Amino acid sequence: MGIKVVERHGNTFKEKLYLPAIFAGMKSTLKHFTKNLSDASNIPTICYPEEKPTDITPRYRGVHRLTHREEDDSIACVACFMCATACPANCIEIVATFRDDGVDEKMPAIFNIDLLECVFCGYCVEACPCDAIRMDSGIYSVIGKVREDFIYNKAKLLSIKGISKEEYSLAK
Amino acid sequence: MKIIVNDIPIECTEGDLLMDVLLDNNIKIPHFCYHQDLGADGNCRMCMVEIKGQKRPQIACDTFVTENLEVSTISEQINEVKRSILELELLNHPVDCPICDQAGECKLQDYYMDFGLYDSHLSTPKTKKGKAIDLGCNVILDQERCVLCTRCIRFTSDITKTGELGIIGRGDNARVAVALGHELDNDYAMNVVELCPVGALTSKDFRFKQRVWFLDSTKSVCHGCSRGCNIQIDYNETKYSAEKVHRFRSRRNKQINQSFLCDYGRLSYTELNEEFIGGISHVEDLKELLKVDKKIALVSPSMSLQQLSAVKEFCRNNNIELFSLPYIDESFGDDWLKTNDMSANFAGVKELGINSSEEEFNASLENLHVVINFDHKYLKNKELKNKKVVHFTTSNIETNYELVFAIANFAHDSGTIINCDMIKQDFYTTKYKSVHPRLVELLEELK
Repeated sequence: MGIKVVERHGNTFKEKLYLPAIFAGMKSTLKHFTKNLSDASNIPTICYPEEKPTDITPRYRGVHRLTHREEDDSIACVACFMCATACPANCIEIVATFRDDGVDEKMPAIFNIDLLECVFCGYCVEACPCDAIRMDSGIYSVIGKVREDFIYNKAKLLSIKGISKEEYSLAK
Repeated sequence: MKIIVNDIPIECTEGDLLMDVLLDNNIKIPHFCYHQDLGADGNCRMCMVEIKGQKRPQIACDTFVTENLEVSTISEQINEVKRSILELELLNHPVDCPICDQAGECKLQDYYMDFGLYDSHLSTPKTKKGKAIDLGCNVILDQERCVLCTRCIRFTSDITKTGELGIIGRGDNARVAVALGHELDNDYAMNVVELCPVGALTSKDFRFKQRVWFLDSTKSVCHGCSRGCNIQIDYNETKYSAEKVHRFRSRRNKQINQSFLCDYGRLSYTELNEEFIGGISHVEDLKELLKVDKKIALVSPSMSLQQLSAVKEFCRNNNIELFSLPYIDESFGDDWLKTNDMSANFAGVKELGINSSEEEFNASLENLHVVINFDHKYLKNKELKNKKVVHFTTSNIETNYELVFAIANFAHDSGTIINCDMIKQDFYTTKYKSVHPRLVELLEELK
């Protein structure tokens, strides 16, 4: 009943032995170990925070943002509570309301994420049916002086820009 | 007599509907249009079963059982039939589950997970219909989500006999609508929301407040009037707020309310969310006050038998004259579920022999100094000069009383009440504990 059966991978004799794969991994580790040991000056490090990392990829899970709709730049979220339901840290607070601008029926009146409670697992992004919440902001450090600074509200989340080219929600 | 369902013999009586037999035996039989209290209509074709000896699949909601009937509800062929019907139902459905309030308790969603899981065969655009149409009486209609099971229509035509709803248009354009210039207007209108198996009819009162999977349910009995309709209290406690009751749903009881509930009772849940705000009184102060000679008590006829007995015992031990006056509203009752007696347990008051004469109460009230009010509304607008009033209350009160004790309301208490037809019913307490003590506990403390 609604269950998809996925065939297990690794059916060959070599894969069932496990050991060849383990040694292949060890080889890689030892290669880096000997290389770095012989030439310490070439280990790639940066002096954070003066130097900022340059290799933030689009799939890096940074601070959340709420996306906009392409047609009218309004909020893409429909307050379906999927993210809040999936969230293992229970850090998302949503209050839904009617939407009377004709774009849709429902939207969040309140959308707060408590970043002090968030574990940045990305389940909210996975659960969202509307591509309304993303973690592609590339923001890896959040600074605040009081606890309230870490509660990001709807306006704040909507104002964050993504580092990917996809500025708007891709949901149809 | 015996019938055989999926190779398992089942006992039933002659003349039973096959559908009822299956439902009563907890055999999963998908259906949209059939409802145990609205009867069969046979339009959705979801309840198809295979019957030995019949060429084609038959609908279970219009088949009566006969001796040794052999039925299959799980065969390959039947599942294929259900899959095809479901595909037809979903052809023009907007699939806006994230917005739809029915998500989580939608039969279309459930059956899709059981029999559906296909790619759409539709090559033309979906037929667009009206969305978020306010029908009146707190009911909002979304024509696109409708599967045309006509439960709501049959409810207004057969049960309330007001006939506001109907289907207009044919084929793809068929939709549920009210007659032009009219609106849904009867005292039981919100039942259609509960009857709707999908999200076509949603309640304006509950709409967008909560997703149903966050809610807990407790079996209870409506305290709106003496009918004692069976209900389910849906409530939850969120991280940022205390426990809150979000809605009442009817619970099926063939003898009392079938599957229905009046709008007044359905919306009476708001009383349970009224928070008590006020000073805290001490039991010692009350003990001091009880030393006075002339005392009278008035107890609400909506209290449970357990509470009434506790109050009665308390009054006997402390030499207090006890009364309980009924809540009568001549304009409220009708010939169906609503009764003029607006208290839940007046039959219980009579059974325990508590005095309910208003003249005697008023005559006694004149000469007495201490009045103890157990959540009765009678004293609300009464002038009580030179009297010390103790108030046990489940909700917030405005008047300044001598002593006020907040007690748990019926959602936070369990007990037994007797309805107008002398049927004894139990109601249960919700999962979360009230901040206020139960009346029985409080009276125990006063001993």
